[in-house]
Amino acid sequence: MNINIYYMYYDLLNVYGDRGNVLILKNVLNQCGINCDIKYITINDYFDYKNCDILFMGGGQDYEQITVGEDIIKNKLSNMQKYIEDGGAGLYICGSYQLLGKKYVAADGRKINGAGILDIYTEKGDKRYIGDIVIQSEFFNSKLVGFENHSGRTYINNYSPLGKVIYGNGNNGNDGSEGLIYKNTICTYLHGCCLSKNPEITSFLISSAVLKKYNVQFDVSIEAPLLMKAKNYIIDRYSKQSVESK
Amino acid sequence: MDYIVIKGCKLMQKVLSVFHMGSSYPGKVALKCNKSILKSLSDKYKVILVTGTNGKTTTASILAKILRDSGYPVIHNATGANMLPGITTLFIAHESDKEKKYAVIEIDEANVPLYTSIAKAEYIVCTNIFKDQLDRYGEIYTTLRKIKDGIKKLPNIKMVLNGDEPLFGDIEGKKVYFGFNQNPHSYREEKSNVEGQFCVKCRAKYDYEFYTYNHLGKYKCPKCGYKRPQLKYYVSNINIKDDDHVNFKINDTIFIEANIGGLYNVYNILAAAAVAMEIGVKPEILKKSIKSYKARFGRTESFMYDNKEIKIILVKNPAGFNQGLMIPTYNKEDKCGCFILNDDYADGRDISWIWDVDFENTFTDYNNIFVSGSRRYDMAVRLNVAGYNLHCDDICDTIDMLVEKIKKCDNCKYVYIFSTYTAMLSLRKVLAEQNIIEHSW
Repeated sequence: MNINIYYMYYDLLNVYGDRGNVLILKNVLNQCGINCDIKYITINDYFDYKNCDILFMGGGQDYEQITVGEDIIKNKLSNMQKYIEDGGAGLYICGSYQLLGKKYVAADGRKINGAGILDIYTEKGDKRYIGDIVIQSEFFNSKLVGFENHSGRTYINNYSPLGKVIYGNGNNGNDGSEGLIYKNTICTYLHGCCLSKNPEITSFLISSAVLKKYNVQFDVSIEAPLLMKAKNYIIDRYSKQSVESK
Repeated sequence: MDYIVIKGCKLMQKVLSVFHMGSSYPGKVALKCNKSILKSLSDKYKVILVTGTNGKTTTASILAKILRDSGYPVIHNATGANMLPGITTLFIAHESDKEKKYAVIEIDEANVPLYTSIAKAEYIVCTNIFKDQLDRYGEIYTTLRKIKDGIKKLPNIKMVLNGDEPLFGDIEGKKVYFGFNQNPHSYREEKSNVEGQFCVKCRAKYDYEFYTYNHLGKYKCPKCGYKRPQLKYYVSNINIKDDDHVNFKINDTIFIEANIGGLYNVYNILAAAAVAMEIGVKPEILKKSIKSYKARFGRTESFMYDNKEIKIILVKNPAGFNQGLMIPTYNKEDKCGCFILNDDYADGRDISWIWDVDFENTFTDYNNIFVSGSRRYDMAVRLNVAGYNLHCDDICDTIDMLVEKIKKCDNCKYVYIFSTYTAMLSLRKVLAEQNIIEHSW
């Protein structure tokens, strides 16, 4: 088997360590005996969605996000839309999550048009949400952890959230939701990098990709004691804190 | 009134310094009483500000040494207290010095406009801007704007700028640039994961004739023509002899030998030398002064311990960590690698940045690898994804355990310790308690 990961805007949305997700996906695929190619694509490049098995996009700075927003609309929109609607597996973090929505208002008040593939929008908030975050995910039946760093407040209408916030702020700090999950698309504010502490999402992306491409149910079991310790360190840190504060 | 404040704060500074404390507090009190105290205290000096993400400490301390070796009286905030209170404390401590000439001030990027709105400076040196602890500092463009705002407030300031840094190419004012000529360590192909490669003027992606590291290099915008400016001071003939010896030429004529390692330190030496030459320091003094410079406080400082040479490399952000990882690759002897990761405020609460470090392409053949620090498991996961094979045994819950592990490493002549800031302080404390190093304050 061979899985192609498309790392889109690797040179623009690349400031929060999110590239680690691509490294981890490749690592786990190889451990499962699956060959993996990473395709780096950026502005002006064609998105060959038929050849893509996992699409990944990370978070960026406002300066670069404007460039990306323009390029998506000009060069990638219809293929990304087909990919997502057709159940293509994808992970979109922070800035790219915002850009899948209809609009995004940057920290300085500039309005950036998003792809509008998802019926969601992001407003500008006064205070930047910076810190560890722990959520409870119904979909994965587990806790997910990460680090959030965003001033945007994202409202996801009727989509299912990725999880409910236990500690931290999540999508907007109001409705208790974090991220969203739609078909095989996962959007989230979790940096960390995300997959370094959430193997549930890694398994989901890989098994979705394999099922779609090869029509095989593939159970990804990740033996990762160190990774679970890294995850539980954050969960314990905040469960202790919330017990103390009570 | 100011006189009383200064004398009062000076007394406080003296008392605190006996207990190795107070590198910032007296200045904080003085600024609370009257901000313009900083102006009156600094007025008698020719102030040289040194700022940028990486290389501030080393550049400033090399420059201070060169100027001292040239016979000038120099004050310098060597303890790394680089915000306004720390800088003010430095001036307070030297308030009654008879001879006043140069003040070499390492200054935090965000503090540049705060400083220049109160006091004057003769020179400013800008080293680079990289992504750095985004949980505290925000975007690289925010940092750039702060430095530019600071420069605007002093229209006569002379700027010594890194010409290979595309973010500095259009800063207006009196300026000279330093940078690299093509060398055996420069490269053409883009490495994945480099920020700041898009034109500051028109947002197109730069073409590089070569990179030196990260987004530094000889850049040109294919769309609007914005390009690397003419360099007044350039480096050529770089020869990295081993992990702490390098030699090179400045402007093809001045042969420099240095006892610090790594390409990034060549930038630091060049930056300091550029200012010194602008001031009029003779090449002979420059050469001699640089040759006798020793690294300090986690900037690849080294010491002997149990028949092993220990080297501490302070890491704060991906660009610096990547450069640090190059250092052991110049050393072919048996070595062990230690990685200590904390997530206290001074380290950066977000540890995601370790995933932006290119462990994959600087894979080093260590005999042993250990990790420690509050986020040791994250560090272990990162290293394992890069192809190292860490086990639970290699993970040290405390710094004391790490030091014990190092002691037992009989097969290593060298130990490289990569450490974040607060972890380095804990490590130094443990080593000082065992009388391996001296207490640093």
